[in-house]
Amino acid sequence: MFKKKIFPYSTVVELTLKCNMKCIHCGSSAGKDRENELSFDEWTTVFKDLSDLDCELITLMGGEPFLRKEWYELAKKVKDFGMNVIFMSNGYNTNDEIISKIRKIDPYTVAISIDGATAQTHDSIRGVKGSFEKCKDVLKSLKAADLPTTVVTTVHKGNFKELPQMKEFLVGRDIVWQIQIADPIGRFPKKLHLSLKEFYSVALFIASTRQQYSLKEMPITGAHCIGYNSQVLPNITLSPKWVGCQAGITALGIQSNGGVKGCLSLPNSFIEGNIRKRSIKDIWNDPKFCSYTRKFTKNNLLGDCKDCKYGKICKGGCGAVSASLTGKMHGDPFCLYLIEKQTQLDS
Amino acid sequence: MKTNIKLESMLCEAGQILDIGKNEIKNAVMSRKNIIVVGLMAFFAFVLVHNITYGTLRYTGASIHDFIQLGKFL
Repeated sequence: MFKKKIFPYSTVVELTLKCNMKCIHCGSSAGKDRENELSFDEWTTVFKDLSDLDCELITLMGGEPFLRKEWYELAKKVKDFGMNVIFMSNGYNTNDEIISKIRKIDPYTVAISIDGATAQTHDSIRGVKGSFEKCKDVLKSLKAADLPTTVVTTVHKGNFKELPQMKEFLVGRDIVWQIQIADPIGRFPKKLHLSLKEFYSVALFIASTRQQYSLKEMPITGAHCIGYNSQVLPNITLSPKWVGCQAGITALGIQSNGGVKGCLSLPNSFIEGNIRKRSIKDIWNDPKFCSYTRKFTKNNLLGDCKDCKYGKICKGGCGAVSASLTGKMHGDPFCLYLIEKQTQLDS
Repeated sequence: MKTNIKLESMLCEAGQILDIGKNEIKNAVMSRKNIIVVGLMAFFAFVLVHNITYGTLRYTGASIHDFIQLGKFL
C-alpha cells in the first residue's frame, strides 16, 4: 500500500583508481589509474542524472580522489547540482592549497584514513613511510580550517589491538571516528581477517567507548559491516536500526571507468552496467538492477541466517562481507546476534 | 535477554583482547537495558497521552468519527 520510494540517497564515486599508497587491505587494489577513466564531461552528466534521481550525498573517493586532476571542479559540479560532498582521502598529498579548495566546497565531511596508533603500524599497512605523521598534520590543518573531519579506521589482525591507543589520541578533538572491518577482497589477505571473537571485541570496544564518553567528546561509530541485532550491546552504528544491505535501495557505487554496482564495496562480479552504455538513470530504474536486495525474500537467506528471526529485515547482513567471505549475498557470518546465539547454544 | 554464564565469559574474553575491563563491559551492556526501559516508558507515556486526549475529546462531545479524523490529521 505504502511502497517506499527507492532513490540513491548516497552514491560513492571512485574518481580515479590512481593512488599514492599501497594499503594491504585495499579492496580495489588501487595504484595505477584504470584504463579509460571517465572524462570531466561524462562525470558531469552522471552527477546531473544523480541529482535528477534525488541523490543527496556523493562520496568522492579513489584510489586517492585528490590525484584526479579536476577533483575540485567535479566536486563543485556536485554542489552546483544541489548535493552534498564527502571527501575520502588517505591524506598523503593533502596540502594547504587542497584544504583551502575543500573549504570552498563546504563538504559534509572530510574523511582521512588512519589505520594505527603508531607510525610503525600505519606506515607498514599503508606501504608509505612518513604517512602517519603526514596524516596527523592533515588532521590538524583540517581542524584549523574548521572543516568537519572524520577518521576512518579499517581493522584487521594487524592493527585492531591499537584501537584503545587510537581512542586516546582522538578523544576530545571533535573528530568523528568510523571503524570498519577489512574484507578479503582486492589485495587483502584472508589470513589477516579478524576472527569472530576479535570482531566481537571491536564491537564491544565501540559500545564501551560510547558509554564512556559523550557523543561530543568522542563521536565513534561502527560502519555498516559492524554489529547487527545484538541482544546485549546497544546499537553501535550510525543508523538507529540495521535494515539490511542498502545496495540499490539507498546506496549506489560508480567506478572510475563507469562500472555501476549497488555498492562500491561489493566484488566486481556485481557490476550491473556501465554508464558509457546506459545512463545511470536507466541503470537505476531498471527493474532487474540489484534484484538481490530489491526483490529479496526470506528464501534468499543462506547459512546460519536461514532460520534467523531477524533475517527478513536484516537480509543476511552486509552484502560485501557476505560476498567476500562466502561468495554469496545474504549470509554474513560476522553478526553479533549470531555470535551471541552460538555462544549460548554451546553451553 | 538474560546473559548466561557462557555468554558472560565470552564477553569477558572479547573484552580482554582490547583491555576492556569488567566494569566497562557491564556499563556497555547496561546501556542497552536502559534503552529498553526508556522505550517502554515512552510507549506507556504515549498510551496515557492517547487515552487522555481521547477521553477529553469524548467529554467535549466529539464523536469517534471526529477522533479518527484527528488521528488522520496527526
